[in-house]
Amino acid sequence: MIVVLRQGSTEEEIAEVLRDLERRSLRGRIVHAGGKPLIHVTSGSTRRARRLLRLDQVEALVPTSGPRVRVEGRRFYPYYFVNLCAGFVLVLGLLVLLAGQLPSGMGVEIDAQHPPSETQFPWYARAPLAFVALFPESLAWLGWLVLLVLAGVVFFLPTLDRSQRRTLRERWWIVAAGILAGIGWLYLTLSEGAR
Amino acid sequence: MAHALWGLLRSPVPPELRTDLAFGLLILVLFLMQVATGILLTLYYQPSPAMVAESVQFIMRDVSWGWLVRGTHHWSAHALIAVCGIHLARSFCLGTYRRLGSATWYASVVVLALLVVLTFSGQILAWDNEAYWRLSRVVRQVESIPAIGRSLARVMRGGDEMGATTLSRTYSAHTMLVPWLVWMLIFLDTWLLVRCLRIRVGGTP
Amino acid sequence: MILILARDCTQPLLDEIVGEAERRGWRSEVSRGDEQTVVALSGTGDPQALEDAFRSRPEVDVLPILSYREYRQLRSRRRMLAGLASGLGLLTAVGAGIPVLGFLLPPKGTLADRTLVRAAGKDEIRERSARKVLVLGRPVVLVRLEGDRYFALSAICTHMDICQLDWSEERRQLVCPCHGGAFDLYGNVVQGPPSIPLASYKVEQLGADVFIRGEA
Repeated sequence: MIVVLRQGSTEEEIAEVLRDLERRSLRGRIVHAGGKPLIHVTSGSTRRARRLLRLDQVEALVPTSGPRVRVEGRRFYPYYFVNLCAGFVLVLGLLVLLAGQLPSGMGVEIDAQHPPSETQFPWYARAPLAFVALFPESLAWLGWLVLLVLAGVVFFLPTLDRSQRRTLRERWWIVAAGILAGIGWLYLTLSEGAR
Repeated sequence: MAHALWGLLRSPVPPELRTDLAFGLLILVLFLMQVATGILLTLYYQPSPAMVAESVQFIMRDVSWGWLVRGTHHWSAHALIAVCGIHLARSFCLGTYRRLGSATWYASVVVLALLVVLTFSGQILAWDNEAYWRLSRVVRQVESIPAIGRSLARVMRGGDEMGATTLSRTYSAHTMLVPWLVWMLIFLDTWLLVRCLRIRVGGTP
Repeated sequence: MILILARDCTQPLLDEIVGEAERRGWRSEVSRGDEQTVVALSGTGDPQALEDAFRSRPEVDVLPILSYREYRQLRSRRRMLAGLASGLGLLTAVGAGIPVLGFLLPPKGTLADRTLVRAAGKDEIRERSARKVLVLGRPVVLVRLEGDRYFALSAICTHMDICQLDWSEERRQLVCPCHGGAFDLYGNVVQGPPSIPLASYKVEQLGADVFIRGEA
């Protein structure tokens, strides 16, 4: 942390700040930049130094954590989390709205004797089921096997893809595969085979 | 974890990691919401075939704010799957599974699978006609696996017939087993992310 | 201007960076601390040029020294942001706390309330149509008018206590097929021969379902 003092602070005023630092068991060193005396707090927990702002000659306390991060990376950092939290509150509000507007029903009592003509599966399970249904009845096991292999490929992706290419343009084929898979998923979800 | 989160909050976030972090934290927030509303629902929910409908009715009708707790539990479950899926698809297209280290990718894929199991079993807990036949279709599918299928289906049903034991097994998996697995993976994921941030940010831990 | 480097930055790196700054017309003063190394610059160089020079170097952070007014603005903005954030947090906590507390308090009713019977889902009955359901063993007609207006009436005609009433959509009445008796949606006799009004039931809508209170 750096303590910025007022331009033209007297020796006595600088000494006062140093004494104050010492009382909080912090060590400081005086350096000069841009005409203003600065005190570089070289050791100790800097959270205790906040009260220094009460002194008249202290203009600001500049935090200096993260020495290897560029300025761009830091400019937003308190604002970023405020934005994030505001976003979360909005999401929770949306959930409350959904709970009020589209309540989940209770369904009818179980009739174990008569199976319904079709069983509706939830939206996230439809695409894999429809995929298996693409195979003829006797080859359903093959459908499951292909599904299992696909899941395995997705899971072991970091081991399978060891290329050093970084940019999106160099990886166009994998992006294309992703988009194709997404479209396929959407199509299967909406198709009749998921019944 | 509180310590790790505090560290995240105080350390500057490199711009290229921001979206990952936002997704991760959103998933964490939604999961915490699920845990909180889930614990509340167990206060009134009764996992026995004779009492399920009664107790769900009771929550919706008599308990104040019951509609809100049950509704948000339902909707944030679906939101969780959607958000986790989008997060993985994004990571897949941008290739961040290499940059962040592969361990986070493995953890995220398993988390998504577990979330699907959680949501599915949660819908079974309603124990209405639709849930009953959905589960019996799944069990029949499991039964058709050669060699181990029959015993696996018996384990899922808790016997030879679908009934009270099936419901209490589903309840136990939904409230105990799977949530704990997800918790462990979330701890692992947070730890990996914090370590990754530290490597990138450098400086003091 | 202030340059910030890592605590353990090497001497050659430090020399190189100080040299770069001095070439641009800055005098420098180095201070090594436990957490970071600070290079304070004073002089008449161009601050923007300095910032641009170190932009591509992740190991150096460039901080300007602002005027008293700018520092005060920064501080007040930070304070406002913190206030806003904690206000939002408090609001959320209260907003979440009230439902949780309400949920925890045990309600008045009892869990085993078998008099309330689920009759149908809201989407299962079309508008202006009816459905017959059993409520505690007695047949009941559940009528849905426009929107979410529901009526539940006993389905047994009061004339002979035998015939089951049917819903007539164009007349908006319950009609007895045996002797032509008719009742309106409140159970009143509209057309003979029955003389006793029809028993009606209370309808409750909970979430996506319609329930009939079976104690009438």
